[in-house]
Amino acid sequence: MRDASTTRRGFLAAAGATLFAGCSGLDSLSGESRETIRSYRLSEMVDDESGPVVVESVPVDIERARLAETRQRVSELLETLPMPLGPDAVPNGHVRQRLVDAAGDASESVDQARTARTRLAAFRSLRDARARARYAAAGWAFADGTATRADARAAYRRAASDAQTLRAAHRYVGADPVDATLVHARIERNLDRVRRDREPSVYSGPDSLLAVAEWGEHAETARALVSDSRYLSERLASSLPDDAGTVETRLANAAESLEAALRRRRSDLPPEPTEHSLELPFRLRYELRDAAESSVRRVAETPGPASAVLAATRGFANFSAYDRVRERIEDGERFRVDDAAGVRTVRSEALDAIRAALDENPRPGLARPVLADAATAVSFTDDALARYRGEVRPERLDDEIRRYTTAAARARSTPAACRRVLDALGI
Amino acid sequence: MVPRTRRRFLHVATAAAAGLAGCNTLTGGSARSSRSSTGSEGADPPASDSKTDPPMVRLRADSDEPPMRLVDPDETETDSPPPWESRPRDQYEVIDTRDRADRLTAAPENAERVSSFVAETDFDTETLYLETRRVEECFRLRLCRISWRPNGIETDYVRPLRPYDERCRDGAKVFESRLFRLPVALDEESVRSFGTSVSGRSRCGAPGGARAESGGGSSGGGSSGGGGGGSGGYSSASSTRRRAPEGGDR
Repeated sequence: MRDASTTRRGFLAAAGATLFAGCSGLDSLSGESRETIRSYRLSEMVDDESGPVVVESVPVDIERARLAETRQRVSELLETLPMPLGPDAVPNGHVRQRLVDAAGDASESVDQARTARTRLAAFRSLRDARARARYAAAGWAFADGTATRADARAAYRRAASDAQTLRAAHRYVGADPVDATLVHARIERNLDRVRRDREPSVYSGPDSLLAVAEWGEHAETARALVSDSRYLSERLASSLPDDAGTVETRLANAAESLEAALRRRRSDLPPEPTEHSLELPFRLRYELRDAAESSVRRVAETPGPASAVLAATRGFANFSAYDRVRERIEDGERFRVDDAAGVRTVRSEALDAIRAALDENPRPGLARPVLADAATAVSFTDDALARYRGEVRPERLDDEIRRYTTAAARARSTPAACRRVLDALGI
Repeated sequence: MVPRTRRRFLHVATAAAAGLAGCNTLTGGSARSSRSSTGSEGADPPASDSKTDPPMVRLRADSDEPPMRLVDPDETETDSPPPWESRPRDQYEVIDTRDRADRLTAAPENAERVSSFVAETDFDTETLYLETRRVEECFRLRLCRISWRPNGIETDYVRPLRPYDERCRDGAKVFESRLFRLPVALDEESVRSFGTSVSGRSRCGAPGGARAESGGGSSGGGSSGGGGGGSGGYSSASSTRRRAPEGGDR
């Protein structure tokens, strides 16, 4: 960790020095170009994409009936509101708007669920919809005199207690270790989230309508996380033969050996250069090294062996991505683009790498969480590109180039990371 | 919005003369109209001090003008827009003499209350401090602490949401003016800086209010508190000394 802090300090020192030097310092560091890129050339290259190219899924059959049931819950909550919610119902305009916004969010999440590309994505959108609908419903129920903060807190405590019971009794049933990892990791994280989610803020005033609304949302989220976890567990179990055993020991052993291997990788990291700068190669290297070094901690902090195995997959991809980028830098690569075509190339390389990594992977399911992260990073960067207006100097696109390059490096590193994890799982 | 009509605002001193028995000192007490430069109390102000519940008049108004303000002695009815229209943000005024206090104005319905408060002030040992901020109509400002030193004054507030059953418009802003009486003789010319922090919390924490609750935020930069009410944001603003209009108060 000493290396990490040294690197971080160095980076911050370099950033500070540049800030003190003023904008001209930035230009002198990055080498200002005279050519500019018209912003429409940037936005047109991202217009044809809608959402990340890879999204997460889960290897159990989430039934349409289950999704319909959750939609029904959302509808029932929203139907309690006297819509349109006017000043006679809730005179305080700010409070009223918060309730209206929550109801709008719920409807939007229901729409997103309808167009989601995987059942898991729909499942999650509907969970969000439930929570936001409950916010609005609980707030209105307070105004209507039918709910109190104590009611909502009690509902949350029941859900938290259910989560604890479910976690204590959880059996890591499974036949295929990868499928089991993917399902159990989601259950581990859901139940852990019930425990870890911050309680509603005190900012609204403890006895206000919005405090009740927030507690209602908190309780609904907890209840949905427990209910979704139980459902996934049951669906996995129902897909297995009656004599299917558990994979807990296998996952725990794999997680332990993978964490140890990541520790060794971390101790073998080469020293970083002592000079620091804000130039793109340095920032790329800094970011990827930081992610690699953090991997061990991320594995250690997971709420169970299945999540630890997935975190280790990310960790190996991070180490390998760092190695790839470092080697390119040491070979003299500067990652500079001079025009729109250069940006397009870097972006295409990221997308191609993500798609290829999924196609070529021996167990795409194991790669999907890492690749979904990379694809989300590309989408985020696309949004940033589309926001530029006017003439854009290529140096201004350093952040976007860095994100595309990082996503590509992680994607290319995923197959090897998955092989390493499959090996630890004995596959 | 109440239309801006200067006649609706009366000089506090006038109101006092018309409506208050025994308040003649407000309008004519030359012996108390300015502070002795040698300081008759013989004691320098302490390096810094603070109060959580100082004597104060708070006025809130949904209008184009602050409910309390210190008029420019040269200002006339036909003048072009007063300074707060071109500077619609916070207003800070140190009132260290009775002459200067005579320039205080308030809406007629509040003038008596303000003038009484002014009349009870001993400018040899006390100072008035007028602070005006804009706040969203659906929120209130609650003072957690005011602190002062010879060259600066700072206030810390929290910003509770008003009850759901009080009618207000989301996003609309109103003025809140506060006239504090500080137990110290500050010199208006020496007070060079003003700072305000507003925490989105609903209650002042102990000890120290908004600043302590939010874990930092010394004054400086930032915008006045707007935005999502329940989000518990924190903002701070500061101002260096604005020169008061010159004229006749010393």
